[in-house]
Amino acid sequence: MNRKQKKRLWRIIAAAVLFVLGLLPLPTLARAVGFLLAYLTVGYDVLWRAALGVKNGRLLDESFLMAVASLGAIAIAVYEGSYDFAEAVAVMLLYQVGELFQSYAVGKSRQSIKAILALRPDFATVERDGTLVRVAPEEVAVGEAIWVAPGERVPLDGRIEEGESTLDTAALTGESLPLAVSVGDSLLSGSVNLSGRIKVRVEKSFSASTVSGILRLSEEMASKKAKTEAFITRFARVYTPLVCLAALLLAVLPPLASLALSLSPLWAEWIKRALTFLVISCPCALVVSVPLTFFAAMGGAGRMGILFKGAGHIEALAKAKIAVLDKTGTLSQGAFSVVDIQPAERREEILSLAATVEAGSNHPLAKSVLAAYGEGAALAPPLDVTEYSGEGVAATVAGKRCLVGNEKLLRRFGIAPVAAPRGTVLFVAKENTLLGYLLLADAPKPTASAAISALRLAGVERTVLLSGDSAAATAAFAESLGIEEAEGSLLPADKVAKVEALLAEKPQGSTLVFVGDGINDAPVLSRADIGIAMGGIGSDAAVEAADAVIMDDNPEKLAKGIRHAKRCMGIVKQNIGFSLFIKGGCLLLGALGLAEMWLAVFADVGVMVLAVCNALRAMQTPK
Amino acid sequence: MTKRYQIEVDCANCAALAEAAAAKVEGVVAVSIHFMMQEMTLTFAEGANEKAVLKAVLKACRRVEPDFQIL
Repeated sequence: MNRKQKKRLWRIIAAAVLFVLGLLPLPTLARAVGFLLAYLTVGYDVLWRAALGVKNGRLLDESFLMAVASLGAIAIAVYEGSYDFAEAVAVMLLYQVGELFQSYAVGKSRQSIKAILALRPDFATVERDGTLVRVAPEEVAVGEAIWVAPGERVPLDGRIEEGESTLDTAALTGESLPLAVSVGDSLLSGSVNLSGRIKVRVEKSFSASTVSGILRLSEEMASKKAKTEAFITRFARVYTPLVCLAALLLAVLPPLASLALSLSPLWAEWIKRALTFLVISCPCALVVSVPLTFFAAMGGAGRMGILFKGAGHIEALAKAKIAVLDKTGTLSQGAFSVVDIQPAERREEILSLAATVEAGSNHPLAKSVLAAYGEGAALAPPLDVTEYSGEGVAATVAGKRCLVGNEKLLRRFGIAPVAAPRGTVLFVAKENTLLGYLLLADAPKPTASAAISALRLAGVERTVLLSGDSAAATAAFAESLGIEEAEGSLLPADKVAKVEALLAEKPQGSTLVFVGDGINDAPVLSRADIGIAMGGIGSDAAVEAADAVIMDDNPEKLAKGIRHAKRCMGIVKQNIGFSLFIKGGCLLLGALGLAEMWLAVFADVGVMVLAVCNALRAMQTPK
Repeated sequence: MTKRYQIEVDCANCAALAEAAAAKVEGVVAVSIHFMMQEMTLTFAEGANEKAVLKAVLKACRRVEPDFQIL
C-alpha cells in the first residue's frame, strides 16, 4: 500500500470505531456528535472534492453524488428530529472502503503487468580499470565488459566471456523454458539472468540493443486506447446527468402528485429514495473495470510473447474474420532447404556431386545444397567453374564435366530433362547424362500447419496466403498447409491492392488481420485493420508499421492472440452487462423504496469488487 | 517535441477528464493520459516554453482532479 492508501485505511478504521461507538445506547446529542465526527473523518475529502467540482463548474461526478446523498441523509435526519446520522456515515464508509479496494487492486495489477511489459534495465554493472561501477545502460560503450548477477536483467546485447547461466527470455520471445547459456553464446538485452554470474562483452550500444526496440514499441502503448474505453468515458458523461435528472424527478413528482390528489406528500420519504437512487447510479465499476481489463489483457499477451501497441488492437483482433498471411519468413522458414533427391538410390552421389560443383558459389541455392551435404567427406575442389547466370553452374570434377542447374542449363548442353515436381529443381548431370535432381523448397515452419488449423478454431473464416514468390511455389505451399486461397508473384503494391480488395469483401463488423515480417510488408501492415509483425528480432520497418508483434516468430501465436483477444472482449462485455444489470435492479428497488441507502452503496461496492476481480482474469493466457 | 511524464492520477474517469483539460492548454499539440500506465505523453507546440506549458497543464488537470500529480 502506498502512503495515500494507508492514510485512507486509517481514516476508515477511525471512522468505523466511532461508528460502532455511536451504535451504543447513548444520549441523542452524544451520538449525533460521534456520528458527525465519524462522517467528517472518513468523508472530508469527498466533500472537499465535491465543493471543488462545483466551484470549477464540474458537477455530477462521483464525489458530488456521494456528498449530496450523504448530506441529504443528514438533512433528513435533522428534519425528522431523530439526529441519527448512521446512514450517512455508513454510506461514506462503504464508499471509501470501495475506493480503497479499487485503488489497491488496480495498483497491484499495475505493478505486476508493468513488470511484464517494462523491460527497461535500470543499470549496467560495467568493469572499468579493474573495478565494477554501476552506470546507466546508455553510458556503456561497445566493447566494454559488464557483469550480470542472477536476478538482474541483461542491459545490453553482447556475448558471454566468463561464467554460465540460464536465462529467462520470456519477455522477448514468450518462451517460458529457461535458456542455458555459456561462454561464447550471445545474449539479448531484456532477458533475465536466472542462475549464475556472467561476464558479458558488450556488442551493441543501448540504443541499438534489442531491448530498446521493444521499449519504443511498448511506449507507444500509452498513447493508444480502445474504443470501448472511450465509450465508457462518453457513457459516464451522458449517464450521470441523466440519472441526476431522474433522481430530481423522483424527489419532486410523486409528492406533487400526492398533493394534487390531496394526499400527504411524504417529502422526506421521496427525497430519501431519490438520494438512494443517486448513490446507486455511481458508475465506478464500469469506469474502472474496462480499462483494467484491457490492460490486464495486454499484460497477459505480453507474457505469451505478443506485444500489442494499444488496447484498441485487442478489440480489433477479437473480431478478425479474415487472416492474410505472408509466406516467406512468416509461415516458412525463409530459407531454402533440400527436401527431396531423386532418384533416391543415387542420393549420396547426386548430393555430393552437387555440393562439389556449388562449393564456390554464393548463390542462396548453393548454400542450401551445401547445408544439406553438411559435414560429409571433404570435397575435391572443382576445376574450370563456369556460372551461367539464372541457369546454373558447370565444373570439372575428377576429370568429368558436371552440370548443376535448371532446365535452361540442361537445354544449353542438349540434355533432355525428366519430369520433376513443381518447385525449385536443380538437375545434376555428369558427362552429358542426367543423374537426377534435387528438389529445394522453402520449408514451412514446424508449427505452420497447426497454426492454420488453429486459426479456423479461433473463428477466422478466410485464410489467404500472399507471397512475392512464384505463383506455382505459393500454390504448392498453400496446399501443403491446407490454406484455401493463395496468390503468388506479388509485388508490395500488389499485396496492398489485394488486401484492399479483401477489406472491401469482409463481412460488416469484422476485421482483417495481416501477418508479415519483411520490410516490403510494411505498407500492408499499416493498411490492414490489424497488422502483426513477426519477430521483435526481425525487420524494424515491419515492427514499426505493425499494431502488434509476435516476439518469437511462431505463427501459432496468431490464433492464440485472437483467442486471447476474444476472451478479453468477453470479460469486458460481462462486466458491462453485469454492472448495468445490477445497477438497473438497484435503481428500481431504490425508486420503489425497497433498498436502503447503505444497501445501495454496498451493492455498488460489491459490483465493483467483482468487476475488478473479473477484469484481472484477462491476465491469464490460453494454453 | 514529445515528452513522457510519470503521473499520479486516482481514477480512470479523472484521467480522461484531466486529458481533456490538458488538451485545451495553449502550447499543447497532443496529450494522452494513460490511467493504467500512470503516464502522460505530451506533444508541445513548436517553440513553446515547455516549462510554462507543463505548469499550465498541471494547473488545468488539478482543476478537474485535485490529486493530479506529475512526478
